Amino acid sequence: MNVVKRLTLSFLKHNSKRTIGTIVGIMLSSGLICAFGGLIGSFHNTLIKNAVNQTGYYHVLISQADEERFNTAKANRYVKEIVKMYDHGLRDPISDGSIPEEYDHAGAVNLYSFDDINDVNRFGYTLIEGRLPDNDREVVVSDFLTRFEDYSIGDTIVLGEEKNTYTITGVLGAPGSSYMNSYMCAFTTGYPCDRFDLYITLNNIRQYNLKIDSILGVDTTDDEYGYRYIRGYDKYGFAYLKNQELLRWEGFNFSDDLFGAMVFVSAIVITIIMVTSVFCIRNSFAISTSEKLKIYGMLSSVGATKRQIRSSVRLEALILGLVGIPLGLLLGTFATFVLVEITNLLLVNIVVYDDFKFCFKVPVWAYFVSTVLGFVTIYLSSLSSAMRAGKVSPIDNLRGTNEIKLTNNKLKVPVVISKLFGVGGELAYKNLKRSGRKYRTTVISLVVSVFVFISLTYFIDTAFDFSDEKVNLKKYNMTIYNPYSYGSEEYYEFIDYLSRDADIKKVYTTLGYDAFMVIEDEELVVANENISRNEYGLLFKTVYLDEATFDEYCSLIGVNPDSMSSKVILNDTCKTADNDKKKKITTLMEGDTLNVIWYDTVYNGSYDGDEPEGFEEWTEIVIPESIVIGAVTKKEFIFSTGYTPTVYFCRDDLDYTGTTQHYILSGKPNTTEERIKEKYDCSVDNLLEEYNQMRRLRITIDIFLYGFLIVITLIGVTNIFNTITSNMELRSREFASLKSIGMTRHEFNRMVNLETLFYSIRALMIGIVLGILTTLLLYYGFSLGADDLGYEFPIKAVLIAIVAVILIVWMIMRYSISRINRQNTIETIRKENI
Amino acid sequence: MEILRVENLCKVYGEGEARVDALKDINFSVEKGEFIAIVGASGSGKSTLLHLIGGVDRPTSGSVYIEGKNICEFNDDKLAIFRRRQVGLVYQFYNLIPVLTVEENIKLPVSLDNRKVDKERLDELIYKLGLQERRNHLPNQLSGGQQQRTSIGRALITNPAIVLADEPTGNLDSKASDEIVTILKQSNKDYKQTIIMITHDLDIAGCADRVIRIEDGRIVNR
Repeated sequence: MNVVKRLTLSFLKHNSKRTIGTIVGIMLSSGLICAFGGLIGSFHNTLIKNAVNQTGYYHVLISQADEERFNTAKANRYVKEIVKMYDHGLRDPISDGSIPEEYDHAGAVNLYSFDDINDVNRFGYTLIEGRLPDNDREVVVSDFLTRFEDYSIGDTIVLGEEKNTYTITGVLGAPGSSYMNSYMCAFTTGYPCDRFDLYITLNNIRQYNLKIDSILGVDTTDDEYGYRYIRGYDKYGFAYLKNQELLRWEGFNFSDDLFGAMVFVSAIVITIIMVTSVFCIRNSFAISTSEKLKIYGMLSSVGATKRQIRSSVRLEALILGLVGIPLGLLLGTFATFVLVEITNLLLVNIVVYDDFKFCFKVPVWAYFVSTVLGFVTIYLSSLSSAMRAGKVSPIDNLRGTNEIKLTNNKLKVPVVISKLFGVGGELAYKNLKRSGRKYRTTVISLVVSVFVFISLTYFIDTAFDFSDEKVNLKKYNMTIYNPYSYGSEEYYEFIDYLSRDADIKKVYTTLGYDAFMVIEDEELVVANENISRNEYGLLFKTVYLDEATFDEYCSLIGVNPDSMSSKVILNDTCKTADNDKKKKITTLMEGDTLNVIWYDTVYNGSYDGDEPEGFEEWTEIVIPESIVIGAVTKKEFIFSTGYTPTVYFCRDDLDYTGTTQHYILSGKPNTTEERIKEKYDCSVDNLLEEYNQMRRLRITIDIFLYGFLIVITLIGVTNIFNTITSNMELRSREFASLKSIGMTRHEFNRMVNLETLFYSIRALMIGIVLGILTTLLLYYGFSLGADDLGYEFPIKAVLIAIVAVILIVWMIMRYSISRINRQNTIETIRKENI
Repeated sequence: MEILRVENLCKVYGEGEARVDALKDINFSVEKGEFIAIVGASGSGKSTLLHLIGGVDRPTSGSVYIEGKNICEFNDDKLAIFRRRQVGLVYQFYNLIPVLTVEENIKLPVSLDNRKVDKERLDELIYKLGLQERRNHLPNQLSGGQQQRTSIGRALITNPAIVLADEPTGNLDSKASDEIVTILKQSNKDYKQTIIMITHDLDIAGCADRVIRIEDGRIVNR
């Protein structure tokens, strides 16, 4: 092995701490990119698998095809595979009432066959019992059938239009999300017929619309509902269905506004991640080289050529990359796997379909991008470091004085610094001004960390803005509609039952929430500009309460219920449309009498075919014409503050009634729900359960996002730690000199702390500005795909960044100072002279 | 008048097999205004002795009295303050602060004391050190001799009780060496500055009032 290689290896072994530190930095960075790619890949894979579970694996279905169409499609160059599903028709429906009415074609079992029975799996079916049929006298049935009909394996069943008898060999189950899950069907094999559907998969999903048009031989551009219904029979003589769910996710349809916004935002986030990673790798490597500048100087002084020195630097980079990057890919893969498993644990029973599972997959491009980016970064870093090492003369390297700026010799220290911080402050200031290059790496590391933190926090808060306000679980955690007509005996019995339930602590009763109250008075309309209005006047929400509930509201707001007879409570503290702040938005006061008109919205029309026709109409409802405001309050009751003022009526005062809804606070919502459903046929919303599910979903998302943020912050902190401690180490001789001429420990600590403060402030100023600019960019990206919710200045993130930077840097400096203070002054001075 | 007295000074490094007795029971004294040269072979303990006298290092046992005060009893802060006011240190490799100019480096001990430097004294020193043209230059813009002169200026600015010079000419050519020795001698003569200088150059040692030879951690003559 030549001497340069030997020296390089021995440098790496000798400085094992620094070597390991550099490898860890490379590992974390490439691992982060790999994990991010893995999460995107897993998410993408999940969407595709979910789509396949729901609809089956195919791209386009041609319904009721014939041999000619089959042959034409088969010959098309875009077709990868075609599966024929033969339709042997329905068995007669069972009309004995044993099957619930809501299932279409109750009991009408469809018999299908495939040339290859295994094709049944492409619809998400899996064999849960028995075996698949071997011939055309055997069938496998859907388990939905066995739920309502008493069939077992080995039994015979009559199926199809030809009413043949088949032996059941197995039972198929479908994913919960699959529409096939509520479908009675049976499958056999080796039984072709003239009636069949073609399930076609493309060999490449790009430009799928053009390819599908080519396969079908028609232009489907104007067929808007092709993704939902089988279309086209009247138009083309055959029907087709594009599997839009699968096509969308496999094909990444960028023309979709929401998708476009997602891509734009993801691009920014990926850029941020890459910047962090690149910096981490670059800094780790640059520090390693800086510490060896003296050695390179010595090598140069004994005759090593610039080329030899540069090759040593590049060899070191190669070794570090060959070790660090594969480890990083492993780490990234492992991290993706762990995150996916954690998500699945937390997501159980949250998402609509029971079988929803986050699917682990790290795409090849993630490995490729991590590796390429890692090596490119290391290579470029080594290039710049090698140039630096080779360029400077041996003497300058040995002196280490090429770091000092030669201009601006007469440097005036601001008086405020001298007065406030004394000689320590002056030294710190001069260090920064004259030796700024030493701090550049540290400042840049801090800047990157600050701006990444602010940007990512903004991204997380904006993209996943769940509001908990809607669920006011302290007041009520269940809602139930009274199943009986208002005023009937059963109606009151139901209310009585609720009040007697042991677990129910509170019941609030409202009814008639659908009407809007309108004030037409022109003066009031003009004076109350913040209230929303329609063509008729100012709009108010109305809530009717029963007497007990109304009295409770009166007590809450400190009003005697007896004084509120025939009067209403007005809550006019609302959110304003532009910034969600709550304030009083009417000029109305206690004692005001209002002339009101009541409107309800009625849908006047019908659904005809695919196109809804009709419109909403405001209809007057007859009730008293004037109301008196008994009290005006800003205290919420039952409902959270919205954008429209709400008027609360006591029900007994009015004739108009609608649906009665009970808002219930139960100590055991799940038990209460069960009990009520057992006894009554009514709709129960268990808000606590829904809230818990949403919370679990939120936690899952938070784990991902904040986990991500933590990893990036850790990388940033590692970076900062490396640069600061390295910087301090390189200056140990300077510090020893200061101590030797009489700087006390206290003065030394103060000088170092002030240096820290100065460059932290510089870094914060730059980082915060960059962070805010990035949030503006993200806001623009979000606004592409959604309604403009207004830009929210990331004040929380900025404050956290300021505190965190000062705290983290201070802690690192404390650590460095304690190490320096432990060193012997003379030995340090001497060490450098050897 | 006795300005320095060293009593039973010992310094041990390491333990067990790695134990090194750098200084063994050193005793001597120095009068104010003396110019002492300490000579000895490499590893004899010369620099160790100098650093113990200057309070930069602590002895294993024994005492160092400067102007009657036992500096071995000082805590770290007191020692640091003592050094900046009473001791001037000159090293072989200058050890200037790289971000400070010549003038700022010279003023540094006074600045650390939060005092204003005597401008006349400063100008005089800079003139005598031949650094007028370089007073606003940074160390890396100076030759070795200029850097060492700056280091001497820093050592002299506070009129310390003792100037300790550890091989001040070790890194310089003969011309620069002569300049340095001349400056030290001048300082000794003009300001009655007590100077203790380590050197391995017998010719330079010959310029001193007294030569102390150290061998194997012991003084072999006084």
